[in-house]
Amino acid sequence: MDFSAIQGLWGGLEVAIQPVNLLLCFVGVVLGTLVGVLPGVGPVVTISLLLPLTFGLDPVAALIMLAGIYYGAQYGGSTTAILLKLPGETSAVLTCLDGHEMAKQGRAASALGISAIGSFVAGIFGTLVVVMLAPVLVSVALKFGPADYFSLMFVGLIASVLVCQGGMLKAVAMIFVGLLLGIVGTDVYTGIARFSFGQPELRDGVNFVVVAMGLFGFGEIIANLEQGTVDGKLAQKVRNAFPTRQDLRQSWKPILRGTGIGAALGVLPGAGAAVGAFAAYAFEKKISRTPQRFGHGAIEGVVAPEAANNAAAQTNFIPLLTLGLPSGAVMALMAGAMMIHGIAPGPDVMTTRPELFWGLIASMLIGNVLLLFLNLNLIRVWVRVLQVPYALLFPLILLLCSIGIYSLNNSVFDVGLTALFGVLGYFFIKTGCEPAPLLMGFILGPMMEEYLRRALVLSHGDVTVFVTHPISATLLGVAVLIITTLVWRPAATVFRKASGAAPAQPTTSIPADTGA
Amino acid sequence: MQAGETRGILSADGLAGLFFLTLGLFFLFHSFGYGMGSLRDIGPGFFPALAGGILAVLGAAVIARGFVAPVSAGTIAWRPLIGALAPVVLFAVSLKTLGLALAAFLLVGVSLALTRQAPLRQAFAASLVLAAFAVGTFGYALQIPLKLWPW
Repeated sequence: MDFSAIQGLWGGLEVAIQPVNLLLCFVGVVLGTLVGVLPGVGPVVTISLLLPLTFGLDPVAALIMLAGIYYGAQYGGSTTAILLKLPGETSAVLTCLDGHEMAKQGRAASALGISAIGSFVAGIFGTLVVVMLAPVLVSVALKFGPADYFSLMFVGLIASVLVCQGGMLKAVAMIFVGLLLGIVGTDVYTGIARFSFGQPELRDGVNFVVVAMGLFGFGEIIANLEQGTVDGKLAQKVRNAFPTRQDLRQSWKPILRGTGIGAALGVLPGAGAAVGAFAAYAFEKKISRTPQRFGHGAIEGVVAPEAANNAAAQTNFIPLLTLGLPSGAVMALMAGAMMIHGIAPGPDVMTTRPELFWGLIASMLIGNVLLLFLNLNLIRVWVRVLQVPYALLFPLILLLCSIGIYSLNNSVFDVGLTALFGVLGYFFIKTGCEPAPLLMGFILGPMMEEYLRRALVLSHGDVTVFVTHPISATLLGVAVLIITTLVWRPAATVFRKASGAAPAQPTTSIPADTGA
Repeated sequence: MQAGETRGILSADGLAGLFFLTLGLFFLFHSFGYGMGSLRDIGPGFFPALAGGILAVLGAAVIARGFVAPVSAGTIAWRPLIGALAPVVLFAVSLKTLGLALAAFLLVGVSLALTRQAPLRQAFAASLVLAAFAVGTFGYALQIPLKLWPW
């Protein structure tokens, strides 16, 4: 770590401990834990809901709060997983397996406590990785030209497909749907209102809050109502969340391993917190001398994925803060939040807005300390939250979403459009299409068009610029590599089945980190 | 959509692909009207035409998969679909005339009635509580400029 990073972090801490920022950090992590605990409400909906309310705030304070919701949700998700065997968040799917077994054996307090501690260690470590890695990547990113940026976004979008469930082909198509929806509105160069069809409301484009709330918020609610939800009253009553000394002895190594895996995977575009958790669980099971204990209350199976998803939730910010590349649905929303406040996400943020860059990172350290306290000591409160019936919760979400969208532009049209996206979201759930790539494409669409234009203007219409510039060429090479493996894997499976050989290993399906 | 119909265009992939194909072609054809420009200076229609064209091709491929390896899309749950979205539209339309208090009351009440998630008396109580919460939080605490009462 070079010295300037420490200096930057120190300056950031001074920003983060300002009373307003401290308060909003607290609000963010409390809300994050809350929506993490509640199944069916996630950070994507919550962040898009609160976004309109942050218009009047200082951008630093707004981003600190929104970030807190995301990593706070990773803490809360484990509570529901352990007590109800229901993932409060997608990334807590694996915590259900052994966590709920531990609870059934009367070790709920241990599981909850050790999850919180593991999450804390991972959250702090993940933030320190951001501190160390971000300045390095920023200096690399400053060398990027328009062609390089175009290729970078292309790779980012392609990579996001890797983690999608239910067909890569559909996930790629969803990216393009997002790209197209993203360019609805007035073209900045010519002033032509594209695809607005005479609707004055569409001239400014479709608001991404409308897209996010419709697809994630309303779509999920419809699906939840259809399936019926689990009764929160089944949750065990727990008084506290403190692990025993033996728990700590057994789990410190898995915590560190999970942290490392999560932090590394979190940096990659597309790999959200869920992927880190899956990898960490699989790794622990593999290296364990007693793999048969997994699924029957093995503490390693609880702490490793919990640590991994928290570490990943922090390092997820790296591509956004340094390259301006959102690596998932939540980061796409964060990018949108920055743009609303007039900040273009990218390498310039660190130099032009150091108080924002370092203030946000430093707030994560504070946020994680707050979360440790909230999750160890206030566990009774969160268990009570679980008892809120869905019949009260879903009208509340509908109401909050409606007010939020309406207050964006005082527009009835926007609310109707969100309802339309709700229908679309339900259609996507029914037909097995992941909405997260759509949101990423939506955010990146206008940027990609812009960089494509600029790159071609600079090269005087020479399309080879994308392969002759070394950075761009390397990035496109990575994209080709990813596409090859995407095509190769299903093809190889088909071939293996055809030749009658036994499948080498059952493929675990990894749910994409929709965060909904 | 019937539960039994899983083949071809009515399968999950068939329907998804059809959506992609239609949307892609739609954007592709409309793009021509905006001007393609040249490679040296691409016009406003260039990028959407490119993306729309690729989406249409992907859509066709997804449809093809629906014929080769069909998966059922299941049935549409009309009650949750309408029960969740109709109240939202109702809320937006009535907000300006009825004010937040009544519109919120209607949203909660109608959604609970349509989805049958709560008995009538509880639905009434929930509507009252949530409407009061909305007026208190957004109207008085956050001071969001919304009409609160019908008068």
